[in-house]
Amino acid sequence: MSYEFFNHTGDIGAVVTGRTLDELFAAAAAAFTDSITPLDGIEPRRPEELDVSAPELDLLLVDFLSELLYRFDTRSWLTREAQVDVRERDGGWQLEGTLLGEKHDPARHPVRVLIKAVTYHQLEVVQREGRWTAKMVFDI
Amino acid sequence: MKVQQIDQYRWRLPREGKMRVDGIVYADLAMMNDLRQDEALKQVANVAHLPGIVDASLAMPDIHWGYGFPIGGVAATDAEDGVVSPGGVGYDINCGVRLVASSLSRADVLPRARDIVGEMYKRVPTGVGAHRRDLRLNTNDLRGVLRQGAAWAVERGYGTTGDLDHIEEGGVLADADPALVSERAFERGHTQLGTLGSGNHFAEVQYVAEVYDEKVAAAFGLTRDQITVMIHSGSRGLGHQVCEDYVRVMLRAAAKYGIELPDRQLCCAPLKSPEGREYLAAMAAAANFAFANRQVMAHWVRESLAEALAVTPETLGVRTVYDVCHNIAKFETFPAAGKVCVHRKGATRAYPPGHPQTPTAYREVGQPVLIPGDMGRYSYVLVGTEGAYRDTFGSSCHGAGRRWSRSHAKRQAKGQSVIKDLESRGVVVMAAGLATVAEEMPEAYKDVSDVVRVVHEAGIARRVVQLRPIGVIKG
Repeated sequence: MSYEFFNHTGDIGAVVTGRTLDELFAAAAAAFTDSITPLDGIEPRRPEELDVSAPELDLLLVDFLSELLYRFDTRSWLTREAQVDVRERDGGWQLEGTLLGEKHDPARHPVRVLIKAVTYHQLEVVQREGRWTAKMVFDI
Repeated sequence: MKVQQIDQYRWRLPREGKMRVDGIVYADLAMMNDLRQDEALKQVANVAHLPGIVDASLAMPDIHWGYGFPIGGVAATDAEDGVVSPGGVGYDINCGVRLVASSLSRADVLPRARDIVGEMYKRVPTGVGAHRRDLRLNTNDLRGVLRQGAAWAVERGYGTTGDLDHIEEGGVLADADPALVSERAFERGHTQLGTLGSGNHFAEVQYVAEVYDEKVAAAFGLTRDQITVMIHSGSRGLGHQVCEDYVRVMLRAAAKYGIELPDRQLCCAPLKSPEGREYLAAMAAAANFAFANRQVMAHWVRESLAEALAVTPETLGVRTVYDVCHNIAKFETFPAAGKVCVHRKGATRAYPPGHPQTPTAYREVGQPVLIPGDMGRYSYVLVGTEGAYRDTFGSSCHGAGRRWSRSHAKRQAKGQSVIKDLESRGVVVMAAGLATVAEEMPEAYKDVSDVVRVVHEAGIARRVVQLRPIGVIKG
């Protein structure tokens, strides 16, 4: 899995890839968190469970990252690693799994930017030549 | 993309394909040459697809690439058969600007600039998770904020009733319904009233450096060398969550009502549909949170000045000049178009002299239009005009507009201290995040005086004064 950022005038765009959907979503979580603070400064101290479902795969990605944002905004939770299982279910999509991370500590986690929202602009989740790629823009 | 020049400062994107109206962009030739490389023009054309859009999809000269709508976009939709789009407001509902003036002069403040900025930094929470322990709201309090806006704060001693007359819409959107705001939005709002946030938000101590229009400046109570404070912030996590919740509602609604759009972020519903009405009522509640947010911070700024200068707050003559929304959708009425829902996404209302919505004190001259620039150079106060009322649904620009992406700014800032550089230019900066300061460095923005020149020349607002920074706090 991997991720890289692309330029968007006032906001931040990310392109993430993975061999499987599970890897893709884990990479998206890494890109999201790394926008806020350097990922390698976060310790995978505690697990948190999560369960998200959505009618479409790309909407599931927005909902999943919005869930991370909600946990950060209300409880200062930072995700170092997302171990997730993404699958089709009842005509829609579901993600279940565990987030490993810790609470934001200003002394160890310098903030790069605060993300206001995960947008639908240029949102894309596609499979090409056996690899999954997703594109997304975060509102800063 | 086809672009036709209308006159020196206006360009037409002619209607084509499924566009319902033309796009019209306010810009000079140099700006248009830059814009041709940008996605923003396509976004102006995309907005022209909205059902019920009236006259044109408009863009102000600070236009830049946004998500869905361009930043700097204005779209009015017909109150009878038009739509409302949360993307036309944005995630930061009622992000806006307040300007407060004082009876202090530059000479009073310069020797104490560092103390003042320090006190502001101490009192006004900035950056991630920061909030004051003495202002934590329970759910009932928050419902009150969402219904009453700035008045909620005034009733609790944050500022005066005089402030309320000098806020767009009197600091409250009347149709707010807190019951339509989700539990998650409430959770995000509990600790965030009276917090600045991050990104391009700031509170800045300034002085009046230039007066272009003595008569209007006098009506606004602004004179050369006078100290002002400008606050730029919005509805924080509560507003972001309201937008997020309703974009999802609108995705379903757009399908339900058979609305085809070129970008999902433009999703919308008819103004008269349950989805449209509910979004507007939830958006109004978030807008009221933002009005209260700026009201509370303005009060703490006043206390900061008093503390740093060792005087009582009453002796400072601090008063609200005006407070504008620049991310909002509202029903407004115009002579030609009648009642429309005006979406301003990075655009400021600019009502003319004589309009009943303009505060009594300014009615003869027009509504103050507050235009923040970057941290190092200057900001402006303009005044609304008949031209804006006639041509742009009473709207004008909202700021400088970004020139560099955030990562480009950070690369440019490497190896130099943006804070030291600003201090050498006479601006004290205190910020929660150093990365933010680098990304927000003055050079990352276009020169706001170019933007202001275009709106002034095009007649959609007129220059009144220029404000220069002395000190700023950031997230």
